Amino acid sequence: MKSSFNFAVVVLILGMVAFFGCSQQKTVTRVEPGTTIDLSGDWNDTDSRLVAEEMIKDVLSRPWVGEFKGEKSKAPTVIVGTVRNRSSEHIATLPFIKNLERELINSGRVDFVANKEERQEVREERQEQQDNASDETVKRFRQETGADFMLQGDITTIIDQAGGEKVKYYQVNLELVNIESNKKVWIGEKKIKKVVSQSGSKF
Amino acid sequence: MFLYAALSFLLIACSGSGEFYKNVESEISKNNYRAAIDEVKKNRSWYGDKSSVLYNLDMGILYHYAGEYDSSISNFFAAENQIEDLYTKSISLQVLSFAVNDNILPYEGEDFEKVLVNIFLALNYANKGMMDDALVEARKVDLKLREYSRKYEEKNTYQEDAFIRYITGVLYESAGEINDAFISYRKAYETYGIYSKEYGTKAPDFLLDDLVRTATQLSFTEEANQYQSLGGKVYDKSAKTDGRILVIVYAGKGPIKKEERPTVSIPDTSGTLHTFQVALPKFLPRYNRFQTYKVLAVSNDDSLYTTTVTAENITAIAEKSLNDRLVLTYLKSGGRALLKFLAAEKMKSEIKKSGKDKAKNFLGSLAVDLVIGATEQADLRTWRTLPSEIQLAQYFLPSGTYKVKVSDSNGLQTIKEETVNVKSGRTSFLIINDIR
Repeated sequence: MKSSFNFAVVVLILGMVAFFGCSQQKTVTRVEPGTTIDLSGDWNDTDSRLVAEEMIKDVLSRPWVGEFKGEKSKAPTVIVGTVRNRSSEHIATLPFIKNLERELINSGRVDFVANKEERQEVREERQEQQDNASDETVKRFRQETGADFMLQGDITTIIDQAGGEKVKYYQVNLELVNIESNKKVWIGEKKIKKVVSQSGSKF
Repeated sequence: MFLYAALSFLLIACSGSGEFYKNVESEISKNNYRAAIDEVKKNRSWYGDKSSVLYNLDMGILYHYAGEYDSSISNFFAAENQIEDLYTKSISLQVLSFAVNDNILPYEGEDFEKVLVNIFLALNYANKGMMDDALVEARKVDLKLREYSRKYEEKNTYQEDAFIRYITGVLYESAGEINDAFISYRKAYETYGIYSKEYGTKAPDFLLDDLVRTATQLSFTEEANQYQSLGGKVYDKSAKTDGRILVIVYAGKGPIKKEERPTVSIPDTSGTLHTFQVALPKFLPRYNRFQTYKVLAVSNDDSLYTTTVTAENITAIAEKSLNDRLVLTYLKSGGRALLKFLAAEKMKSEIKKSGKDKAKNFLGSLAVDLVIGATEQADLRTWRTLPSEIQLAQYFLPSGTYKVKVSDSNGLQTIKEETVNVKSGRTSFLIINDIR
């Protein structure tokens, strides 16, 4: 009686080991790029897109645009500077900067100039044209549009954790600075809060 | 009974003692990291699924020693993800481990090992010049240490890491963020107060200079005076900014675990004392010589000497952390011995009930005790490719090219010679391995 009970336990345990040891199969499902999918709880494409959309909507609804237009009778020219990652996870800030640039250009309310690296490449091309392009098509030096405002900022996180429960609080701070006067014309922030839970046990 | 013993034996037998580590360590001591990496790769099956974290830790640090920072980062990321997944414990395996021992559980690393992952990741990024990402890793260290302190109800020793606080200060200062740098240096200095008491690691002298310099730059006169009176060098605000060379030396082989078998006595219902041996892991230090290094920096018109100091004694941290874990969690919960004892009592009483022969009863009970002793085995897995300690030295030098030579304490044996470019206001990291 007793030994058959022990035998059952051993069979059960071996079964469990075999069950958990088996491999998983890979599947692929296509989804729309706009779909929100949260896997790890880390900063993802959805966060980047939503924050960019909302913050640019905010910055463009403020009085500085109208004031600049009234004063200079032209649309302000904006450049996106650096957005520093001061969080506790590796956030790719480049896609976020690209989202900001896209929202700004598509708004049609401001003019927009290329950033530092892009300008460098364009300048090389212009230099190249001086020797190789025809007189009618060659582009002139010193005709670049200087930006009036620079958008810069950072991403920070505050994490509160107890056991398998984690609250992640992201704050994106952006500031628009007048390049001539160093005056800040707009400060915006956007917060995202996520709760990530991980179970302490499985069978 | 017999099946139980057979199963236990089977589970223990599948992990060898890892003889190949001898070859890995001998290659490391000769700076042949490629050969060490190949040796670990060749023995991937020894690690199995159970010790996959350990495999990635070994690979990560070997690539770090080799200066292949991208590969090191990807192995450490893999380790970190696996460790995170292992937060979810398998109940079935936990129960089984009580009956047998911890060797059947997946290895998730000691707490200090999990923290060191982020420290080496930070150094990988710093060497790649990715300062923001290096700082992300430093913040992850902070999060982890806070989580572990909570787990141990603040009774553990390793609640703060002075070395990573110092590195954080250096990173902030090279980014021109002096206020953040000052705060990190101050935190490092405070933590070295605990370090000197617990691990015998005093604050490096130059940390006081760093505190005076950043405090002066921020016009924090009171703080600047305070750290000057403790021995920090006066900083001249008008002096032109030099560049910094931070020399990081990995010295000695990290500790390994050995088994200790203290005995525990538990009385049964009839009052008879039963004595059991519990198998517990204990760290065995492998770096016993105390050695600092001489660092010589030579340019066309100058030649400067300095000496390294211990900034992080990994062996000491390992010993304390393991002891804290065993005392605060493992033994507190009664440990395996008690549970095994209870199971054995039940079996013995069943033997008594079924049998009539007294001698047979006695032999049966004895057999139960013996099996318990045989299955009891300490989990000796550990990240043994770590260095025993991390030493630091630093220079502030005018921009230019320098030849930096690191030799042993009497200056007789050269460990490494390298050319370093110093840029004003920037930090050049120079990592030296002397893991023998």
